[in-house]
Amino acid sequence: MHPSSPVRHVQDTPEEFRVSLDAYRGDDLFASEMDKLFHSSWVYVGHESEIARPGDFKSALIGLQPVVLVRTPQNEVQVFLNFCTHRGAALVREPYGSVKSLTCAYHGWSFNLAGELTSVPDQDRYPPSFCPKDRGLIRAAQVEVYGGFIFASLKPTVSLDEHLGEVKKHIDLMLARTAGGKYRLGQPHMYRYQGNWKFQAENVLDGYHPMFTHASALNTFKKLDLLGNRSTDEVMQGGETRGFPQGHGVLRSDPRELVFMPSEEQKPYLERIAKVHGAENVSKIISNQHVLVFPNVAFMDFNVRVIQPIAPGVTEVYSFPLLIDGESEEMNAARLQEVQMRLGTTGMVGADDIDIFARNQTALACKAASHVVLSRGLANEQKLPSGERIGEYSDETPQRAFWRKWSNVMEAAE
Amino acid sequence: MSDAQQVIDFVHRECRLLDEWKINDWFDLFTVDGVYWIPMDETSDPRTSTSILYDDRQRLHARVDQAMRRRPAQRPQSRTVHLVTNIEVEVDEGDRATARCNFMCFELRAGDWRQRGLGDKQTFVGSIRYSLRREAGVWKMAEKCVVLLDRAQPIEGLSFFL
Repeated sequence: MHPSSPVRHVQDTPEEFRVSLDAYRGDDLFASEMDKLFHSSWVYVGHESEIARPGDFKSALIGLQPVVLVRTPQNEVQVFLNFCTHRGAALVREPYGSVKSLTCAYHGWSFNLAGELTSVPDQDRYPPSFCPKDRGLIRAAQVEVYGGFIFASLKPTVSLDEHLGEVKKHIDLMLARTAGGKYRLGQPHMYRYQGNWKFQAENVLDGYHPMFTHASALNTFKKLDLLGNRSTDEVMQGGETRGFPQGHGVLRSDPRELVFMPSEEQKPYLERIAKVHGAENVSKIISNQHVLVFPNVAFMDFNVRVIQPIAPGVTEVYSFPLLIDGESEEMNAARLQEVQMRLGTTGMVGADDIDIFARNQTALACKAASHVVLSRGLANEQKLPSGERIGEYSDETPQRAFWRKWSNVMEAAE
Repeated sequence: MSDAQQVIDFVHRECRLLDEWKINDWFDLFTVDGVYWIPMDETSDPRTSTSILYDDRQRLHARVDQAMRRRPAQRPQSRTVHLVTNIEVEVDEGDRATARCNFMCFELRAGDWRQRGLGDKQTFVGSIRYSLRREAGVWKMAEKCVVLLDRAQPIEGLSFFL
């Protein structure tokens, strides 16, 4: 600990893991998070299928900064600030679209898809030193793609490979579900909630809560025989959690994906996976798996969830269905419908999580309480030499990994 | 009573059952192949495109079954007031009808109104398209499609029935 620093938000001792309530609240802390976590390092911005053809664009946010992803005629992915370098008006106003160039609606400055300023109306009125070459669109410092998923960093940082580290193995497992095919993202299901963004980031890897928060949904699924082989233990046994030194985490349980698929499609699908990846790997590949890539994107079975901070107590979530190019329409429809029924503001499962976040946010006013505790499994988790830790399904191992990384970035000595 | 008036009465009753939380009675208003749909894009194919909600009979059955249980998102429960207006009815072939109307739904979760997520009066605005069939002399919904004004952006607090 830095000798002059105040009491840290994250207290990590062998007996207890505490996070202060101040780590979830306040405009100053939120601004600092945007600056240090989102505007300075890798953030997920989209999938290649969303900008499949040259000229396609997508609007996104990196932290609170609007950006545009563009596919160039040379088939490259570019990430620009959505900012005209003249007077700063946003260049695009649609979430998706296709363009030949990016032309500002204000004074007509026009940029090609590589970001070069190609046209300035009546350019002669600028001083002789004015150079369009210096006025190209402002690029993300780094853009890299892993398995079709596009990440960008607004400031120079480590490579994406180094940032992802060992969690790549778990992204690979998800990619293996395409059985040699490719994913494409569907239109996102979107919801907003009255709570801090980290409540959702903690929740996507929380294996302790389902039989409590989601008892009504699970009891309904059980009654209607929609539960498959999922355990109905009060606290689920089996499965595992993982936490990584880069802040990422994993929550993994037994295979149960097939319940939701058309029965005549199940066997051929498993055979396709076995053919590409080996029969011995099938059950691992189709296991129920949630992966959080620090700080704010989750890869969960059939969907990619972007957790978008809006304000300290307001968060939006964009849940993109993961469809497989070349799979039957029935199979993809089953994936999409299953996710849609469970997640989001109308979701039989998701709506209850959202209510919990509002409870979490309400309780942040309890200043006298000072902290929350994330010690579950702390004494029993397995530690690997790489820094990766492995716990049981209901352990808070991934949440601790998130907060250790958060603390490393947010509470580093200046 | 004219067929058109019967349909208008049906729409009013349907909204009243929702506001009274008589969800099982509301569920009975659907045909056995009935669909409850809140689209993001009402021109899309809801089987293969994302919706805010798209329930076939099985999923709607599950949703109605859950509504009878205690769940955090509905404790305290939502109170709703549905208003419908601009109703246009078309009856064809005698036993099929469509109705289109504009609607507003005010929703509020009571309880400790000072807490986040409670006590806020929310407004849902849009249009509703009904496809109706008359079965054994009784009008039923083959589809209720609720087209929200803000359907293509994030939705908050929709754990009740529109």
